[in-house]
Amino acid sequence: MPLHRRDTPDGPAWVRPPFRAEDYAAPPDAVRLFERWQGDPQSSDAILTDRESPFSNYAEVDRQARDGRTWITLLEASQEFAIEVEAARSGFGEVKAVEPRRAFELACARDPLRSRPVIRET
Amino acid sequence: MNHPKIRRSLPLLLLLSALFAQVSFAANPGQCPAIHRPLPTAEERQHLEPLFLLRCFLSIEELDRVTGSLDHDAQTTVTDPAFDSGELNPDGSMRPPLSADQRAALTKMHSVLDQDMRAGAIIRKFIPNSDIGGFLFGRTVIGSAASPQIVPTNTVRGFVGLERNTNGLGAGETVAALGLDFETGAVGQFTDATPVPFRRKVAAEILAHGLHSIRHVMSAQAASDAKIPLAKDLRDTAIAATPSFSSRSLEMNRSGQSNPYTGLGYSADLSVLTLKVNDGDAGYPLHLNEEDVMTVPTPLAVGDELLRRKADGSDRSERVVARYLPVRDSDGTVRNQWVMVRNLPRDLALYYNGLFNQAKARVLAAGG
Repeated sequence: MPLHRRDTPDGPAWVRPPFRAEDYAAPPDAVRLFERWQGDPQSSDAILTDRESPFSNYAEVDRQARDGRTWITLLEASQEFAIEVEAARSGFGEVKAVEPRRAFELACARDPLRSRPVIRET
Repeated sequence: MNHPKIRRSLPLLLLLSALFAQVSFAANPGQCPAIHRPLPTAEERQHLEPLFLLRCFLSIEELDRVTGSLDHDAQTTVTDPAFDSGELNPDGSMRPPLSADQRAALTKMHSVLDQDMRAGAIIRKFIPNSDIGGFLFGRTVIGSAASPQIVPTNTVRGFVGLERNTNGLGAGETVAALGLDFETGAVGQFTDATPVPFRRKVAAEILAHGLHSIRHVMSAQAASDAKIPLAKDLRDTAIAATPSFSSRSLEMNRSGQSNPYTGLGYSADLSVLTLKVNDGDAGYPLHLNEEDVMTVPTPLAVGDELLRRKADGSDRSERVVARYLPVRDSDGTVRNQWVMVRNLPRDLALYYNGLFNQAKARVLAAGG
């Protein structure tokens, strides 16, 4: 987990250690789970927003139209790796692990939204 | 022990304590580690109420910690803002964090209960009555009116639990035990609003037509795909104590202060469900269980059953409504579909045929 807690004189804060690729690399099992939903009769959006979805720990952080296809970028909320899935009417289309540096940037972009300050270590 | 739901469970714990008084005995492979009683067999475990099974392995103190964990925050180390609201109670107050002892007891509970999620395990998937027609017809319509999508209904997905979790419970008790009090509208499929803030009652829909579930026998793949949903703090503890929880559980944090999802790996109502509309304390006791999430949908299997559970607490029997069976079409093709049982009373047959026809009409209207 990239972020860890630190108690400061101003109260608890989250600390983000310097970037290490291994901290933000998507595990193969996570990619495989998305792939197992390829061809599911429900659409990608229906799967992701279902209250009983196994993907509820992912936050949608980006959505782009590219090459005539729609790509959804999902950031795993605790481990902070990212996965890009092709939105499809039936399950997920193509599934890609997001490169760790990009996942790190996406995680940092959420830091201002967090309920506690984030201290970036360099 | 101040939680009303836990107070209601206390007499049962005390009774268990008296029945199975602690005795000193050497470890015996045929005996329960926590009490002087023979170990249940794998088959017996499928049918034992979870609390009775747990009593074999957990001390009264550990069970006390498990039941005392209800409405506690199991995600204090979650950093994403999407889950901040999950640390709150419905009234906006903060949930207390789980203690280390509570996390340890919950881990032990799940290490016992999870052993029974295996090939051949019998699970239940409770469904809203509005979904029955789609299941019986084999297809349903989802999505918006502008963009309807026809999908088959031949899988079990989402939250599931072993049949033993709700054996012998009436419909209202089942709604409470499974934490189905998530609806917020005036009228729902599982619960309806009451005049009292933060209080809901069992839905008129259930009182009129019963509560329905699919009884499914798990394949080895499905049992492997069914994972215990745990919030982060608890999952971290569980994996540290027992590494196999890494593959047997799924990190699922709570989002929304009115969400009955506990993050504790067991389901319970949000304490908004009342037995009596004007008495907020007249709630349902906690029925310990272990919930699972199908991380991948699993296909219905021949022999699966659709059952109807009555709301009347005096009659806890269930009725089989339909079975999932292979049927030969007029062109000779064999396909699996729901077949209603022959001995249904006329009023029930009319009700289910009506739901079937409504589902069929919706599918045809959507172009199916």
